[in-house]
Amino acid sequence: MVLAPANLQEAVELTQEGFDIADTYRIPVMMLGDGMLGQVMEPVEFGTYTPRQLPEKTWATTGRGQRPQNNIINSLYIKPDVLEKMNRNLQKLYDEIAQKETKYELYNVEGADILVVAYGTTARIVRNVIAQAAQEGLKVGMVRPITLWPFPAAAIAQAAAQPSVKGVLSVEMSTGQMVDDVKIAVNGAKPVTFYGRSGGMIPLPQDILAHIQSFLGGKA
Amino acid sequence: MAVVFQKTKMLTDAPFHYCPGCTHGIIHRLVAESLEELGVGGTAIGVAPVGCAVFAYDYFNCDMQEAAHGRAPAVATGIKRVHPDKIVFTYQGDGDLASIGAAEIVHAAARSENITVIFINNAIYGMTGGQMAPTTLPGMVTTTSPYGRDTDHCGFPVKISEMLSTLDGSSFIERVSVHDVPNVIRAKKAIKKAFQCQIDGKGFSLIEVLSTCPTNWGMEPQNALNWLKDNMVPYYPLGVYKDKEA
Ligand SMILES: Cc1ncc(C[n+]2csc(CCOP(=O)(O)OP(=O)(O)O)c2C)c(N)n1
Ligand code: SF4
Repeated sequence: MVLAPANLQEAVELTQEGFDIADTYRIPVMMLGDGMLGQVMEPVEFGTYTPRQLPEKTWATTGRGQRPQNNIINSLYIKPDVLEKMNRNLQKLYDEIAQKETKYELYNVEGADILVVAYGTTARIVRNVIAQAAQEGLKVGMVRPITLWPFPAAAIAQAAAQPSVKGVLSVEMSTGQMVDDVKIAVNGAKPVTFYGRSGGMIPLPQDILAHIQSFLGGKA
Repeated sequence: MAVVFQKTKMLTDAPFHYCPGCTHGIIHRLVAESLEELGVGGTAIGVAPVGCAVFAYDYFNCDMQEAAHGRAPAVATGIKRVHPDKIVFTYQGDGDLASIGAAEIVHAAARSENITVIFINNAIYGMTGGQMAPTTLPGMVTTTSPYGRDTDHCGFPVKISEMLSTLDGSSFIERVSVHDVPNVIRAKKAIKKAFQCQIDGKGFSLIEVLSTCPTNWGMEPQNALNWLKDNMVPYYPLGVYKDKEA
């Protein structure tokens, strides 16, 4: 699971939840930050997160004691049929996680002219883009993935399917790590475009807005 | 009829997959017998390496956990700190422990983790086809040193027992061999003492066991035992390197 907070309060809460998610499903959980989140100072409040009920750990290696069998923790399955069974079980688990744990935020989405997909600090910048665009009479909506895996593909597809939406823009602080997922989610229903900066260069609201305008003008 | 020998209950009935003449099997037995004789089978938790002993979790009749290559001391550290009352051990080859896992073993010893490490030094990467290990002897032929280990190019073997004994954190370190019966008996005593060291809460213990790899050394089992005695023992002298109590 990959969690992508957009501010420090969210980072605090997702970090706490991340441990519970890892514990519940026995999967690694990654926090995906960025340079801005790593360096910015913001007040945060602890104690806002309610811990989850965690499952019993009957599988743990605690010493056999009175247990009838040894507990063995490993990930090596040499026999193909056994490994395939393991893979199928894991796939079932991934499906369950995708169903229960996908997180995203919808912002200004209803009736939007254009839909932006952005996460982390980039999503904060996009809020300014949305405000600036509104002054020019353009309605920009945003789907902000909070989990990058599982990816909120259904939410993006649904938002993009609105008749008002002319296209979808993936804004990233990368050379395009998410845009392919966005394209898969939109599945050809609308044109998808990309704007990204990298190396520590932060995308500026006016540049994102300019990209949107040229995209709507049929150029990008 | 009187029973003169019985397989220890701390080994499962799974048949070993080791090559004929490989001494991994003897060392498994010594570890298992030690656990049984010390009465800690029910509280033992072992950590298996990546290497020929990767299936150790099928052989030791106790809770077992598999670690990523070289990371057994880190996994054992986690287990022991959560369960300080349990007996935690790792079983690692020289590729696993002395190469990719060098940092883990050094810092586990430096932190004086109260765990027991069984370190199998067969001077080679067995599982992957006999490549040169950090412990490969100067001049020794392996698949990646076909003209013999050239120290000008490949440097010198790492002497783990000597090295770790210099750390204040290590408590008991001994190098033993299993090339003949007297040495097997000595090895058993050392392994048992290492576990006792942990039971007594004295901190990090490691037993380095010189072991054969007839398959990748390209020798018949008996010749491999002789080669170990004639070549490895002089380079890796046997004996106690650290005993805080002594
Ligand atoms: C991270 C990683 N790197 C490399 C390997 C490939 N590999 C498997 S076993 C092994 C070396 C095993 O040698 P040793 O620890 O000496 O054990 P032996 O097989 O001789 O008992 C290597 C390099 C791996 N499994 N994982
Ligand atoms: S390859 Fe070597 S170390 Fe591995 S089982 Fe065979 S003889 Fe033993």
